Amino acid sequence: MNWKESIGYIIGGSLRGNLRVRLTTNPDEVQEGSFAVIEGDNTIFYGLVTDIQLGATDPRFADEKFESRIDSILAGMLQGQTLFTNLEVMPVLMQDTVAEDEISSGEENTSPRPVKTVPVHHSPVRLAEAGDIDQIFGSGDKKKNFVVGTTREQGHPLRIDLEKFVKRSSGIFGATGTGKSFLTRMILAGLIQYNKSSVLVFDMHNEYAYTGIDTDNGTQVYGLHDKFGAKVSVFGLGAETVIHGKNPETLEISEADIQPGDILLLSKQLNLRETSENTLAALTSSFGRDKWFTRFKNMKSMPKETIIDENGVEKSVYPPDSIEGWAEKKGVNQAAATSFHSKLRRLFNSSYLIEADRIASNGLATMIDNLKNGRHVILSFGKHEKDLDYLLVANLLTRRIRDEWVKQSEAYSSDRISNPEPRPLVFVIEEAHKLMSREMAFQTIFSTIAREMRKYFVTLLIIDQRPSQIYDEVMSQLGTRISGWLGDDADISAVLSGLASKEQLRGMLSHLQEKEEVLLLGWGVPMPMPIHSRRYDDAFWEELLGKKANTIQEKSLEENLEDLGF
Amino acid sequence: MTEMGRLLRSGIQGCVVGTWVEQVKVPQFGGMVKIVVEPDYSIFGLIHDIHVDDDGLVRQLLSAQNVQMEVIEDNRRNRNVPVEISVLYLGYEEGGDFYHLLPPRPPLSLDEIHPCLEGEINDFTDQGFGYFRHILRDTEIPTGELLASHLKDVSRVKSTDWLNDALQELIVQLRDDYPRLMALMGALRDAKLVFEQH
Amino acid sequence: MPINYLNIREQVQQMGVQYSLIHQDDQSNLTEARELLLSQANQLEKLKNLVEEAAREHPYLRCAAPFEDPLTMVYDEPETDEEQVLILASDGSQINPDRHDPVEFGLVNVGIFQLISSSKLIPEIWSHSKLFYDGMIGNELGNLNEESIALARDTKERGFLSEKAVEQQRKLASEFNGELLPVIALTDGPLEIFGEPRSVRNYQIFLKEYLLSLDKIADIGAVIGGYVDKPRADLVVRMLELSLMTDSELSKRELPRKFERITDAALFSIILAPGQRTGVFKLISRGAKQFADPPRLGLHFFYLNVGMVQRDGTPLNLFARVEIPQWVAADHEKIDRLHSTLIQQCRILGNQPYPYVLHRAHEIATVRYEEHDDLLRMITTELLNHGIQLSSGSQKSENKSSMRSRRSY
Repeated sequence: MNWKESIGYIIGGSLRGNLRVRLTTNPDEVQEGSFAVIEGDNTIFYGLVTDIQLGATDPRFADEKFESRIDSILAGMLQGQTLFTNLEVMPVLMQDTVAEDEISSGEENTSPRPVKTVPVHHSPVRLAEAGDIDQIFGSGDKKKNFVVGTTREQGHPLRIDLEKFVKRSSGIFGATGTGKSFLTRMILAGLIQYNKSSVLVFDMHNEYAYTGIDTDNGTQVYGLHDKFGAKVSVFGLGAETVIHGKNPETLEISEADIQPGDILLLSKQLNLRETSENTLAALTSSFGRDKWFTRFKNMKSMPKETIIDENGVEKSVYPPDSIEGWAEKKGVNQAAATSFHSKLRRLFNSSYLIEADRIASNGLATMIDNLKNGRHVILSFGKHEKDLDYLLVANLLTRRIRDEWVKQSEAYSSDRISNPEPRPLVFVIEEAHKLMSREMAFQTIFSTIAREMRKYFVTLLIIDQRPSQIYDEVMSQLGTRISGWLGDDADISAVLSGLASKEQLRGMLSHLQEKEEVLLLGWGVPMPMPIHSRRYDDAFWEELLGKKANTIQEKSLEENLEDLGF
Repeated sequence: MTEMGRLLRSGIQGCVVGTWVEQVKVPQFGGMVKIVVEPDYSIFGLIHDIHVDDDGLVRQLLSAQNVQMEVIEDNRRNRNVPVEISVLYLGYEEGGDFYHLLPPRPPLSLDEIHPCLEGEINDFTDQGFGYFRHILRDTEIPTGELLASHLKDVSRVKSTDWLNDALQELIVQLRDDYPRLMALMGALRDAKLVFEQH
Repeated sequence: MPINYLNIREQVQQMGVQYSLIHQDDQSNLTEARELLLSQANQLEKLKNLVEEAAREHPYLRCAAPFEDPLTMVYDEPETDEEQVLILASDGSQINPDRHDPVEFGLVNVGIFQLISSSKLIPEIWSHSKLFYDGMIGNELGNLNEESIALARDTKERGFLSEKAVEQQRKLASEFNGELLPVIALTDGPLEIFGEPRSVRNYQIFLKEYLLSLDKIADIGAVIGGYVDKPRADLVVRMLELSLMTDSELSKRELPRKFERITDAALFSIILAPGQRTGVFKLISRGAKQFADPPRLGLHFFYLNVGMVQRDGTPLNLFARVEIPQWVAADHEKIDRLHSTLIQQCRILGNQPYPYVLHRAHEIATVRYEEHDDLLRMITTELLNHGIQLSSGSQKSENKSSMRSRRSY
């Protein structure tokens, strides 16, 4: 290395601890999280600056302002030698350097691998250049490498490998207002454009499908459907749902699809009692798993009425379609049953839950078809923004669609020639802690998906501001984690769970700028890296889609058909 | 060359020179000296102490009252003061080459000592700063004052760049020794030497 | 070898016993001598005749003779009006020939110190060195030995002194409104030259030169004095002893000593206070006879108390004997000037009174040991340049030299 480029040199450290670097430039040229490159004799090391420490050869040099005792030039010279700044650099990767002749003979550089040794004393250290970043994070000549942001010091573009991104479940985290939604839009746009997997977005707050306005600064926020057109299908929950003045396709859910587990998932929201489980069991026993809901919905609470039996005896009995009558018959506590019925009324009244024989269109089947055939789906919840609706629908749909993917996977496994490989599918879940908390974990499908690690070609992309409330087993299965600023220690610990070098990354996380700085970490990235996240703006779309990207796509029918694969 | 005195005693690290000089011609603290031992072997040193011996006559004069002006003037102008000059070895020249090492052969008594000429100062100090370690080794001498005096002396023949480099070297060597380094800084400030900002 | 202290100790103890006995005798003798001084104080003619006669009978007699003053006469320190006096002092030192050196040589080094009292002028200094060696052209020594060198030194001291005195008096006149300053010339030790050592071949030549120097000083009306510090002479005591002798005792080959070990200084200590001088006495000795021609050179002397009154009021008596030629002895003004100058000069050195000018002359004249080595080296180098190879010096000399240089540092 040309020593003039260097920012310092190695003075100590260890493999288990960090490397210590004596800084030879101004401290303000380096910050926590800077990507440092150490050039050993035959090996290059890549690492992150995790700490910056001021030091002095003697504490008195630091304690005393000698600038007032001697002239400024002497003071400057003295300061340069007696007061110093050390960096702590966490080494992450190493790579053998290859001599010129070996390159020309066709041998390639060995690729970066986890660090297993340390550089020698006095090895020069510099900040990473664009080439180093491309080497580690992938260059732009491969479509799968998607620019997600830039390094903070020098603004070099940094990419994530979208293929690796979807190989495991992933997470996007950050406190409220840190820009998670924008980041999610960008990632989704990347995935959609790369088009090697399909995404299903549970759009609880109707943000992703259509172009809207950023209420903070009044700018336009492009919708994914508006940009990608027919590639992205938009469904609205319930008939006559209108999203941003548009009418998406309708998704109604058959009452026959509601399982007892779906109801138990809503215990908190419905304020169910312990007896509810017994009542549910009795109902499914009475009416079957696909009819119990409709039958129970249609029951009423009625008092006994007097009838004359076939023997002419006057009897006081409950009417046959009464809750009390059914309860009595099944040996279920009547009060519990009536109470349970009353609590389910919110669901009974949902406009998107339709009796099986009354569903006008099979939105779910359409949705599944779209996903199988390479399109992407955004389910906007419309006016159904409550937790109750979100929990029920997201869990139910995910379970149904996953079941479909399981079937495909098993068919593919048994006969790869006759059966196509299932298209990878990513479920995009916002407010993930509501579905994946420790309490919910065993009731929902999501922790199962996370644990399966794409066994059935299905992964999650969870977006959340309270990762500490997500079941830690789910968190530990996440491959790529992208986190903005988090203020809560528990949330920070949650994001770092299951990762090496937690303590060193903790400080980095808590020091991120509130907006536009995120930390990439986890299995899905070669090394942890704080970056300046990309802006979701016209320039982004122009780069992603080429020219004319900044107009809402008005495609012809032919173009649309072509996009659909016809 | 101006003769300064005779060697009284000598070791590996330094020597003591005895001389009788008029007060105004006493050699300078921090001045560089040269001892020609053999035609092609000379030792370079630095004056780090000048000791004026107890003068019995002066003590006697002090015990009297009302000393006449003539006597005062006599002592000031005429009397040779017995002086012992302590010299620290900095290096040597042999066969035309300069070394900043302790001399392999100390000088014998009766050798002559001369203040260095400007050219000799230049040639010796052009070899680098290795000789500083001989000055810094001795913790009994007032290092800061000595170095400041030495630098002030050589600054008449060396460039500002050399001075800057010399100071950097000293700071590096003393950066773990706060008292001595700050003493040096204070002495340099008082010496009013000119350094440049790089 | 170190002293055998066991052996010596007993002898020292014996010495202590014997000394106390001697001291008792001396004290009583001293008392008697003082009484005799007082009783003979005005018997000047009697004593003169007595001394003259005794000197005739005993050529080697060494004693005082009265001059003009009663024996017990004392003179106070004269008052002066800040008179400006040209004071010159000379001293000499020598390097004796050493047969152990590669080449034998001798050196005389004379230093002159000049001070003009009450002038505020910077004193001046001169030095003059003379090398002697066997076979030198114009070798005034005759033979190269310690005694010859010593005589040459004494001669050079006075010779150089007289030259400077004449030269400087004339030269300085222009700085003092054309007036010639009074001159006082001082040397350390007596003016007398003792005897004629056989070992000095050219003694007469030196003596002639010596006397000529004194003459030159007399010619310019200067004062010359030989200052003897801590005198142990008993010249006046001997004179008093003569007054006690019978005729038969006087005619003995060896004159009896009654007041042996009594010094003149002890004798005068009860009458001479700090700052005072005695009257002048004439010096009677074989050596003094050499100064008889011209008569103005005749040697005389007086005692001077250069001590001081201490803080508690008691006197601290410190004596000097000052030898002067006749022309000074006969001139009261000159003696007074010499008296006051010597007292002033002694006071300069405070509690160890000695004339400052003589001390400085001594400093200027002193040859340091290393200078001997320097000179030897210079000589051997010069001879080598002429192709003369010298032996390296005796082994004894080498060993002594190495012993000298073995010092710790």
